[in-house]
Amino acid sequence: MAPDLRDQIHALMEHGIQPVATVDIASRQSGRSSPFPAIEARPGLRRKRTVVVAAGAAAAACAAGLAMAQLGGSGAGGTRPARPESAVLTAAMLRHLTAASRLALAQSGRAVVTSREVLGGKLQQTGTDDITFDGRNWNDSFTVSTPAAAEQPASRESAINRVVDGRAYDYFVAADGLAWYHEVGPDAVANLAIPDPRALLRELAPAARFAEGGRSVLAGVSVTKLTATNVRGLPSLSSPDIWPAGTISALSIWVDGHGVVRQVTVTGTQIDHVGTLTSGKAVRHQLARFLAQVSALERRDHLTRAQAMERVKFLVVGHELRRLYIPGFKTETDVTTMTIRFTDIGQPQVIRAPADAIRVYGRG
Amino acid sequence: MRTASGDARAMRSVPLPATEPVAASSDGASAEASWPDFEAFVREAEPRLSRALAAAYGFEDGRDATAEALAYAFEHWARLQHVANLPGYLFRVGQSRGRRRRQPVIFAVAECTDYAFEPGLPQALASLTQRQRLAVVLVHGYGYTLREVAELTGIRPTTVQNHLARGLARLRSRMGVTDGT
Repeated sequence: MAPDLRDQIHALMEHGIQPVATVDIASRQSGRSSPFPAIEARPGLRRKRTVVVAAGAAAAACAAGLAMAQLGGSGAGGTRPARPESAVLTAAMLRHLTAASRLALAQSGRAVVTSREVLGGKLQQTGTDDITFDGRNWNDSFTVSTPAAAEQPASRESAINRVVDGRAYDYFVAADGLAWYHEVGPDAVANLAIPDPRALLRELAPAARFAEGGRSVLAGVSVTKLTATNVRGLPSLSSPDIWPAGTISALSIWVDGHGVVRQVTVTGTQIDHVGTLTSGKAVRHQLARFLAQVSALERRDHLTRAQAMERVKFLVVGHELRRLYIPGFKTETDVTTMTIRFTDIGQPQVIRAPADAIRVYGRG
Repeated sequence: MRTASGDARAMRSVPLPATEPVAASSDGASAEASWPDFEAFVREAEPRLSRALAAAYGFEDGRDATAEALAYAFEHWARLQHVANLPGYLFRVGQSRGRRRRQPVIFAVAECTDYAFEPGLPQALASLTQRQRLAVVLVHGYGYTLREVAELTGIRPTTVQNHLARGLARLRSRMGVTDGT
C-alpha cells in the first residue's frame, strides 16, 4: 500500500479511469442535430470512411453487448456491468443502437424499401425503392404497382432517380421516350426527392419503450427483434414522401449482433374521407386550395403559372391526393406498411452519371 | 417527386437498364484533413478531460461526460478546432452533461487483492466538494500546475490553490493521514 497520499490518489484514479476511445465518441452521436446529413457529405469523414465505419462497428458491438446484456442475451463486448434485467430497452441502450446504426450507415450502403398500402381492406399500391448511397451520390431505382380496379387496369411503373456530384438524373418515359434525363435547374436535385431511409433511425424515441420480440435470421445474419410497445411515444413522422402517412400504429426494428439496425418495419394508419368531386361547393373549395398552392409556389420559387401548376400536381399525388376528395361521404382506414432493409452497410457504392443523358430544364 | 409511395408524371412500365445496377467497389474518396486532426486532438486532450471529469463526477459518469464532450467536439469539429482553449471548453461541455445526472459521485473500484491506496480513499474523495476534488486529484494526484488546472476548469489559479488546501485538509482528516504531502 502506498503511504504517500499523492501516490494513492494517482493510483486510485489510474485504477478506475477507463480511457475514452474514438469508438465511444462516435457512439454518442445520437440525438444531435444532423450529424450525418442525407445528401451533403460530412466534411472530414469521407477520407477516413473505413476508419469511421470500423469505429461504428466497434461502437455497435459495445452497444449490442450492453443491449443484449440488458435483454438477458449473450451479447459480448460491453465493458459496463449489465443493468437489472428488463425486457424494455433503456433510453441509453436505444441511443447506443441508433447511434451505432447511423454511424455505420453514415457514408454508404443500400436500403431496400418495400411498401404496401391497403385502403378499406383493398390493396391500393405496392412499391419498392432500391436505394444506394455513397456520400453525396444517391440512386433510387423504384417500382410502383397498382392492382386493377373497376375503372383502370393494373399498372406497374418503374424509374430511376439519381444524384451524382450534385447533378440530378432520372430514367423514365417522357416526351422524348425512355431515356436518361439530366435535369437542370435550381431545384433539380431537391425535386428528385430521393428518400433517405436512415432518417427513420432518428425517430426511434426511447419513449416508445422498445422490447425484445425474439430472434431470427435476416439474409444470413442473426438479429434480435425490438418492438415499440408504446407507439404513442414515437414522434410523428414528418416526411410523408418517405414514411407512411398518418399515425404510426406499429414499429419494429431488427438489430444484428453489432447493434446495427438491419431492418425496420413501420405501419401507418390514417382515416381517409373518400368521395368524389361532385359537389359544386367542394369543387370550388378544392380548386381554391389548388390555386392558392400554385400562387404560393409562383411567389416563393419564382415560377411561371404553368410551372407552378405542374409542381402542385406533383405535390398532390400520393397521400395528398385524397385531400382533394370530399370529406364526409365515407371513411375508410388506410394502412400502409413499409419495410426497410439495410444491406451493404458501410460498403462503398459506385454511382455514376449516366452517359448520354438528355439535358432538360425544369422537368422535375 | 417520384418515390414508391407517390409517383408523378406519366411513366409506363419501364424496363430498367440492365447495365446500370449500382455495384459496390472501393473508390478513392476525397481528402479531408479534419478527421486526423480530431484523432490527434483526442489523443492529446482525452487524458486530461478524463481525469478532470472523473474527478468531478466519478469514474462512470466522468467517462460518460468525457465521451459526451468529445462527441460534441467530433460533431462540431470544423468550428471548434480553432478554439484557443478547447480542452477547457470541452470540460465545460462535459460538465453540462454531468450536471444532468445529479447522482452521488462514486469512485467504484473493482475487487483486487493488491490495492495501491487506502480502501477508504474513494469514499473520502467522494466527500469533497467537486472543486476540491478537481484540485486535489489534478494537482496532488497528477502533478498539474495550478495554472493548468485553472485553464482546464475555468477557475482562477488562486481559487484552485484554495480548493486544493481545503480539500487536502479534509481528505487527510477523513483518512487520518498526517503526512505532509
